[in-house]
Amino acid sequence: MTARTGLLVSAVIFLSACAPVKLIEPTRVTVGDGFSVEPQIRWSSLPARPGLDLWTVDGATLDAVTFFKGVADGQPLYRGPMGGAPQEDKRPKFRAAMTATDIAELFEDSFAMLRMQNLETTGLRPAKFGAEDGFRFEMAWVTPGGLEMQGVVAGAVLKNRLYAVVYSGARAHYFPRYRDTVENLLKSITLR
Amino acid sequence: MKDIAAGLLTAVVALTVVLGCATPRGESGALRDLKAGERPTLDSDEAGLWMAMDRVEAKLKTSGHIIADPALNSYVRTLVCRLTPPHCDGIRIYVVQTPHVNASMAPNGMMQIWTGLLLHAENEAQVAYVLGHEIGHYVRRHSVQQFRDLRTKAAASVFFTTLAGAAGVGFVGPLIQLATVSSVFAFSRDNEREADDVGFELMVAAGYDAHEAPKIWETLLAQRAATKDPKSLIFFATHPPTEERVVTLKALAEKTGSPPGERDAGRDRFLAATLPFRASMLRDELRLRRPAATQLLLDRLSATSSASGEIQFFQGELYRLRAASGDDARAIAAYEKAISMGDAPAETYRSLGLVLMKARESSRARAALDRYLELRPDATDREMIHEYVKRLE
Repeated sequence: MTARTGLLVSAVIFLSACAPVKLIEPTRVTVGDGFSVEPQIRWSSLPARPGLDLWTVDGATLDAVTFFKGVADGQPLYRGPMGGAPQEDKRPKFRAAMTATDIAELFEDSFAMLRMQNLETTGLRPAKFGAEDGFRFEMAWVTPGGLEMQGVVAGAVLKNRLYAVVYSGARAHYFPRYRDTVENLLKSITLR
Repeated sequence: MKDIAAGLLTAVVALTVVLGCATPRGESGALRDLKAGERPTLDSDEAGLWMAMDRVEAKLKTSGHIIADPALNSYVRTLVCRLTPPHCDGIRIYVVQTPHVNASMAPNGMMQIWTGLLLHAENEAQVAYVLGHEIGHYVRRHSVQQFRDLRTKAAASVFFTTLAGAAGVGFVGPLIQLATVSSVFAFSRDNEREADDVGFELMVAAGYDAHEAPKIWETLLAQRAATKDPKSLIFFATHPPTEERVVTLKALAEKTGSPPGERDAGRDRFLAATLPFRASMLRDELRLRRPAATQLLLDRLSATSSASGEIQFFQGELYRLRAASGDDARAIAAYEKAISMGDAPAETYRSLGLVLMKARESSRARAALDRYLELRPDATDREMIHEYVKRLE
């Protein structure tokens, strides 16, 4: 998929007529209830699915930081109508009792639902998410259009809700480009 | 999408079938079968159709859905060439990784075999029948017929819009779009019967056990009955599985005079070629979250198949993911059974450990997780598993 097509696809997915793109400044931003980060650089915040924030520099398919701001027990990661995806009640769902291994599988299965291919999850390990005991893992996949992607997922379950940050980007050029920036962003997470 | 036609039925029969159609055909008249190596002349509508499909094919090639494994591709190619030696060189085969049961053939010779078909078929003869059916559409040039019918109905714009959509890239990806294209080619019942005939004749001529042909339809009918959302079964958009099909094929199989099991079903070859991919195909199937239909598949596999430890592992995974009341205990039992069979994957111990951990069976959970680490010392999730073990101490 070309960069231009990527932008178009992103636009189709994330833009709706009424919700404008918002500029995110590098200084600390509250993304959800008690959930804040230092963005490090300027990002464009695109309108996203319910419960999610999505930031990008070059277009959401090329590079994106997605915030999952407290997925409740029984909810899928991706809510709302999506062409081609199963009805919300048939999507893989988060359960408060899930282990980190289950959650990694939940992300993998949810990506598969979005028609991502050749999914590979590696390096699941314990990691602090803010002050919480959380997890980290890496993912690799290929988009339906054939673009090779990489991602890193950091998260934790707090008060029965899943909080997570997913950084995803095209393997060539874009993912490595903001990798260190996102690492600092992840270190700056506070969650209460 | 499908197309084609095989050179087995006579032109007289083809003429009869085509004239029998109720829809007006413009100037197209009856189409003769596609010859081996034939390409449509450049100024024809058929050439336009081929060009559009060439673009779809270019997209498919880079989509990340294609399984490139040389052994599997060579196996499938051998099968297709056995079915139709004259058209073998003109058909380009793509094994597409997706759990839906489907195979299709575009008018330009692009054949897709979806891994769901390889998972749900029991042997080579069943796959041969399905591919023979698709080759039937191709050789009979059904999509060209269909296109001309649509054109006379002033629906050609819809047709090309759909093709353009398939050639493009969208959110849901080319698979669903290709299925949409297929629905444009929702062939008439006559076309379907004709392709059924061709598929059957090709498999019989190639020496396969004809009694296997109706079985794949029976499998799909049972699967449809077990699935609450039949729309998810893409193959049915263009291949309505009917009792009539099963009855007709059973009668045709009887007429061959060979009793079931006498001729080649190719079961051992089929298993040898597909077993290396079965675990990943089953993982894809589980992701569809249709436990009733998946259960049917697992029942059939465990009744008929080797590598049963792997199947029991996936039985446990089905229970674990379904997570209905009592499923944790069922999952534990299935994992333990898998382990007792001796050929369970190492991940069985991990899954068992995690379910036991939730059930607060600390010492058993620790033993299972330790065993996983022993078997997979380089597992990339070992740090997390060590952490679970620590918490259990």
